[in-house]
Amino acid sequence: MIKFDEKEFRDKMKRNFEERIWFINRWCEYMKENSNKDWSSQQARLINAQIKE
Amino acid sequence: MELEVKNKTITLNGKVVNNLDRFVLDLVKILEKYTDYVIVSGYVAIFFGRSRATEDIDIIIKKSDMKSFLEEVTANGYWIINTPDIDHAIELLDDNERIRISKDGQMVPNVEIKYPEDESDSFSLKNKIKINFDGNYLFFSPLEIQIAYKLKLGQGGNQKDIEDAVHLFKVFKGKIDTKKLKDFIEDLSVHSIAKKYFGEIYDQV
Repeated sequence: MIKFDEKEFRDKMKRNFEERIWFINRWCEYMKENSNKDWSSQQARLINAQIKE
Repeated sequence: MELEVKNKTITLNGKVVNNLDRFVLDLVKILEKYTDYVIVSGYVAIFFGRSRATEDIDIIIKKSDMKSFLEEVTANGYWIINTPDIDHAIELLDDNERIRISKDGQMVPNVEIKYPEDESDSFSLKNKIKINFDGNYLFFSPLEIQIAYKLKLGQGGNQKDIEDAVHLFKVFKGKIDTKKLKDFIEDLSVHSIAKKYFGEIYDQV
């Protein structure tokens, strides 16, 4: 059995979300600094791995 | 990122068309022969670079006779997930239900098609914007209402929607109509969450 702390879990969720928002901001900056071909080919690799032709 | 926003048109050339884009393009090529459409929600953020996929693409269509569309689409490698019966699918749409269409034998990705359900759906359809990309085009909901609506969904507890709103806001910062965005934020009562993530639009004089 594990000891589960509800408050600790909520804090962790909150931190995960804040970190994702940070990443989105950073990713958008990256997109703006680079060509459409650059960011979209990275995105395509991610999407095409999940969605086959 | 090379992106041109002019009136009701956005041009984004050089984007690598991924399998999700191809799926959407192929299906709307048939759909647009029969009715007006507008793409809303997650795919809008994904198209403009959000680093995630989705299982469904939300499309609002103008009320029309959809029989010919459903006949053509099912004869061309797609199936209606809800029902094998075209007349039943039409009844579902008429009853304000949504229908999902995917490639034969597949469940995802799928497009979820519906008639306008509320004022924001009708607004999106009426004021759709055209996205041009390397000889292709799609119609999307105006970004200002998309961002506000995503915040509304996020306020309901879905973090993914807030993330989509932040992504769109950041990508189109300086290119969208801030007044319109603020108006939609007020209309949808998402002022406090908007201030948290887009505080800068309230700092402008």
